[in-house]
Amino acid sequence: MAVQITPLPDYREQSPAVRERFERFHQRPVVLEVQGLNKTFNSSSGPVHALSDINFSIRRREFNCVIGPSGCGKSTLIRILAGLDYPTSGNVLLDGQTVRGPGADRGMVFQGYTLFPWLTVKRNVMFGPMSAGSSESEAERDARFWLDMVGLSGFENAYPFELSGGMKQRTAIARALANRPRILLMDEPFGALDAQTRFQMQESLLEIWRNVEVTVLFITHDLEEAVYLSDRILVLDAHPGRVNEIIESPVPRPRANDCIVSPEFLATKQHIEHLIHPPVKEPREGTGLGLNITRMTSADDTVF
Amino acid sequence: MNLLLRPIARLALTATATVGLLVSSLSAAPIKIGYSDWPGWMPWEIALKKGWFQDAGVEVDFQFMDYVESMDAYAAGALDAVSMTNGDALVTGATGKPSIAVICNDYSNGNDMLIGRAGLNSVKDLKGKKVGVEVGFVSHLLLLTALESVGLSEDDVEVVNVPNGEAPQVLASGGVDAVCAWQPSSGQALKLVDGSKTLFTSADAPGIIYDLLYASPESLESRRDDWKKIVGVWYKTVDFMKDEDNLDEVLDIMAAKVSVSPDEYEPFLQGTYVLTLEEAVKIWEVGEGLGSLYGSSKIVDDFNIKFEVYDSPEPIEKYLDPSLTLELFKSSK
Amino acid sequence: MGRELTGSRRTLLTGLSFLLPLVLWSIVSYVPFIWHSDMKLSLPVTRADSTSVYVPGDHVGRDFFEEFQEAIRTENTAVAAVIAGEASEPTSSKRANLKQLRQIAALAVDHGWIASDEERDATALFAVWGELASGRLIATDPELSEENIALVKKNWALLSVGGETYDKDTFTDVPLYKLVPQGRLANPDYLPEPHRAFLSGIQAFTKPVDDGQPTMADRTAHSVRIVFSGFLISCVIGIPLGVLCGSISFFSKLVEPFVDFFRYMPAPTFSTVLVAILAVNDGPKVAMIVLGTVFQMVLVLAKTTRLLDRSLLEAAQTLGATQKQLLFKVTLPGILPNIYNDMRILLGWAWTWLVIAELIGVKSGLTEFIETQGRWRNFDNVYPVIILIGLIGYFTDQVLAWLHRPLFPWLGAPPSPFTQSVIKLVTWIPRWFMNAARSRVSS
Repeated sequence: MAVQITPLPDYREQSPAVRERFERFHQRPVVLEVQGLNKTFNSSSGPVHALSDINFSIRRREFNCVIGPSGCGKSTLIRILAGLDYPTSGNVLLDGQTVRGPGADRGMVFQGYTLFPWLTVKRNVMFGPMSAGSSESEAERDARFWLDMVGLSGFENAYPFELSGGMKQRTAIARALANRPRILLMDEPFGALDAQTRFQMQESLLEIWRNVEVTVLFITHDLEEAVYLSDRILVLDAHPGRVNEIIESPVPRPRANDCIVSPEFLATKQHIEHLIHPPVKEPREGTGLGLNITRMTSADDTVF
Repeated sequence: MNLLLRPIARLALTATATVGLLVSSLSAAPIKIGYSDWPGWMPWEIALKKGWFQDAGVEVDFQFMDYVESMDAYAAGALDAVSMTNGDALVTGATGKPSIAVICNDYSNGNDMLIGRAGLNSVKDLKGKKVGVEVGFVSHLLLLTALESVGLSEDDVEVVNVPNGEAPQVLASGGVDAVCAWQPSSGQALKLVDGSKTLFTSADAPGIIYDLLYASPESLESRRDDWKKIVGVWYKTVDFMKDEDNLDEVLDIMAAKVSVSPDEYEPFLQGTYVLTLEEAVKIWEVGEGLGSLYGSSKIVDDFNIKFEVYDSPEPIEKYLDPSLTLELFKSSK
Repeated sequence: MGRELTGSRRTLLTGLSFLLPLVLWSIVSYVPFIWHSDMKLSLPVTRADSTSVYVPGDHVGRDFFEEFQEAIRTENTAVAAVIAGEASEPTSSKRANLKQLRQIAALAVDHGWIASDEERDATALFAVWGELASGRLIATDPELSEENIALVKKNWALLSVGGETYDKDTFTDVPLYKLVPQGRLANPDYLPEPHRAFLSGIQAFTKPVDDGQPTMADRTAHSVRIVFSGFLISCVIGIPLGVLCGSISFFSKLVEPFVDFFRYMPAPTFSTVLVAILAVNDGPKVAMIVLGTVFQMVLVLAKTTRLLDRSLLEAAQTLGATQKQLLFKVTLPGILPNIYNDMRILLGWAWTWLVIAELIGVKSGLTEFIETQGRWRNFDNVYPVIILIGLIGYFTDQVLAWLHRPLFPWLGAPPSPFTQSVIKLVTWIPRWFMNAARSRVSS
C-alpha cells in the first residue's frame, strides 16, 4: 500500500458525511456532564493532585473514549463517574441529576471481569434485574436475551471459571446491559485479552452499541482501539490529570476492518501519539532512552 | 365495670397459677448432692443402685466430682449439699458458703495417708523434703498433725499443692518426696512407687477426720422432710453394708464406681470406719476431744487458726445439726 | 524437591507414615532385651505390712519384685510356725482364707477351668485347688513355679481337712500359705504392647457395663455432642460477628480489639466461673468449648471476610445492589468456601478443648474414661480411646474436605464421578421432594 507516500491529512479535516453526522450529534441531549472535577489524594509525600478541573459532557448514544499516559487519572475518573469514588470538588451530572454513589443507571465493565464466581453465567446476568426486584422468570428471560446478544447462548449454565477471557468479558457486558443503564462505563475492558480476541470484542461491542440504546464511555491506553471505537476521544494529560484535547474522530462509520490504515485514522492516531508522548527535546547521550546500559556482549557480536 | 374486670381477674388468676406451678416445680426439683471418691461416701452407690431413694419417695441427683471441685461447686451454689470432712466444712464456711451437717458418714481410720518414697522411714525424715498435698484441705490437716506429732512444723518441709487424684502420678514422677492423700489415691501411690510406704495415717490420729454430708441452710430449711428421708436411706444402706453376707456385693458396687477391682477395694473398708446409727448418735453428742464431732471440729478449728487457714474461730454449733439423726434413732427404737 | 509424586507412591507413603510408628512401637514392645524394666504380675499378691492388693496385670519394678518374693516367703515361714504349733501369730479368719482361695481365680479363668463369673465362687475355686494339688490340672500359661505347686499342695492339706468339697461351716480358719509372686518381664505400664492396647480397646467397647454406667458408645456420643454443641453455639455467635467485623469497619473497631485481648485469657481459668453460672453438668463443658473457639472464630472470619475481592463488591454496587444485598448476595456466597475451610480448622480446635472441657464439674464422656483409667495406670485402655478421639477428628475433617468440591463446584475443581454418584444417591430423596414441590407450584 502506498500509505507512507501520501502525506497525512490534518486530523481535523472531516468528510461531509462525518461532518453531517457530528452536526446531528450535537443536537442530541447531554447524558453525562462533568463539571470542574478535582481529585486530590493524601499520600505520605504530601497531597497528590490526580484530577484537575475536568470538564466535559457526553451526549446520548455517543461512543466516547478516554485516553492518556499512565498516571493521568483515567481510572480515578471512571470510578468517580461510577460513584465508587468521590471527587474532592466538582460535580457529575447524569441527565441533569448529581451523582451520589453507585447506581444501576451507570453500568460498569471492569478490566478484571469481576464476574461472581459462584453464579452461573445466566445468574450473573440476572443479578442486576433481581437486585432491582424483577421476578425470577422475568430476570431469566432478560438474561437469555442479553446472552444471546453477546453471543453466549448455550453457555447459560457455565460457571465463570469455565469461560475464556473474551467470554467472561462478554458476560460482564451482558450483565451491565441487562440493567438498561443510561451509560455504560468501561474501564480498559479488553486490556487483558490477546490481540485476536480483543479485535473480535471491539467489533462485537460496536455491533451491540449500534443496536442498543446506550451511551458508552470507554477507557483505554491503546491508541488504535480509541480511534477505531470512538466518536470523540478525550485525551488526558498526566500530573495532574487534566483534559488536553477532545478530538472528534474523522473516521467515517460504519468502520470496516481496513479503516485502520485509512489516512484519517492514521492522522488521528499520530496526533494523539504526539499529545501523549511529546517528542523528546534533548535526547541524552547513548541509547536516547535515558537508560544507562553497559555493554555485556563480546565486541564482534553486534546485532545492529 | 364488671365486664372490664373479669378478663383482668382471669388473667391475674392464670398468672398466679403459673407462678405457683413454677414455684412448686422448683421445690420438687431433685436435691443435688455432690460427692467424691472417698470410700465413706461410696455406700450411696448401693442406695442408688437399689432404688432406695425412690422407695423413700425423695428425688435426689448425686453428682460425682473431684473433692475440691465439689466444694467449689457447692460454694458456687450449683449444689444443694456436698460431702466434706468436718475440717473442710469449716474452711468452706470461712471462705465461701456456710453449710450444716446432717449425716456423719464415717471417720477416717487409716485411709488418709502420708506416703514417703523409698528411703524415707518416718515422719522425721521429711525434714527439708518436698511434700505434695492439697493445700488448705483435709490432707494438709493430716500432714500438719503428722509433723506436729514429731515436733516438726510446716516450715520444716516444702509444701507443694497437688490435687488428691494426681498424688500417685506426682509421687511417681519424682516431683515430690512424699504425698498426703486418701484412698483410693493413696493406695495407688503405694502400688505405683516401688518401695514407698506410709509414714503416718489417720489411724494414728483417730477422730481428727470425720466425713459428713453437709446441706445448704436453705435446702435444709425448706425441705426438711426430704432430708429426713435421705438420712433414713443412709442408715438403711449402712445396715446392709454391715452384714458380712453382703460384703462381696457391697465391694462390687463401691469398687466399680472408682474403677478398682473389688479385691483391691476390700482393705479400704478397714481404713474408713462407717458408723452405724448407734455409733453415730454417740459421735453427735456434744463433748470435748476427738470422740465427739463437736470436740473434733473445735480441735480442727483451733488448728486452722493456728496455721492461718482462716483468721477467727468458726461457730461450730452452726455447722452441726444432729436433730435428723436423733429423730431417726428415737423412731427406730 | 518440588517434584510431584505419582498417585501410587503417594498412597504408599501415606500408608508408611502410619505404619512406621506402629513398627517402632512393636519393636520396643516385643523384642525382649530392648527395655522391659518391669515385672507384670500373673498372680494376685497381698502383703501383711501393706494395705495394697496387687492384682494380675499390675506392674512392679524388677528389683522390687524380688524383694516382694522374699517378703512373702518370710510370711510363709511365720505361717509354717503357726501350723507346726510353734507360734500363735499370724492368725487368720474364714473370710481371709476365702480371699486366699481367690489367688488362683484369674489363673483358673484364663485356663477355662472356671467361668469368669465364678471368680469368687468358693465351691468352684475350692475344687480347682484340689485338682491342682493332685496334679490333675496343670497350669501352662502362666506355669505355676515348683515353689508355688508345693505351696498349693501344702494349702490343700489344710483345706481338705474339712472335706474334699467346699463347705461353709467346716471351712478352715487356720492361716494358709500365700503363693509367691510370679510374673513376666514387661515394659512400664505406660507402654502396653500394641496387641494389648488393641484387645483392650475392643473389650472397652464390647464389655457390658454396670447398670447406670455409660457404655463406650454412650461416652463417645456424649463427647461428640459436647464438641458439636459447643462448636455450633460458637458458629451462631462467631460467624455473624466475624462477617460483620470483616465487612463493616464500625463493627471491626468496636469488637475486634476486645476479642483480640480476650482470647489471650486462657479459657480453662474460667472453669470455676462457668460452674457457678451453669452448674456442674454439660453446661460449663459446652461453654468451655465456646470460650475456646468463639474468639478465634470472630477474628479468623473477619480476616477471611476482608480477603474477599473488593472489586466484586464494587461490581455489585454498580449493578444496583443495596447494602443488605451486598452482604447476603455477594459477601456471604463469596467467602463461603473459605468460611467452610476455616470451620474445618476451628472444629479441630474445638476437639482440642474437649479434654479440658469434660474435666469440669461432673467428669464425663471419653475424657472421664481416660482420666479414671489413667489414674489407675490402665494405659492399655487409655491409648485406644485417645486414638479413637484422633480418628473421629481426622475422619470428620477428611469427610468435610471431601465434600468441599461438590459443595462449591464453581471453584473449578469438579468432584470425581464417584463422589458425584455418592452425592446424587444421598440427595435423591430431598431432590425428589424439591422437584415435586416445584412442579406443583408451576402447575
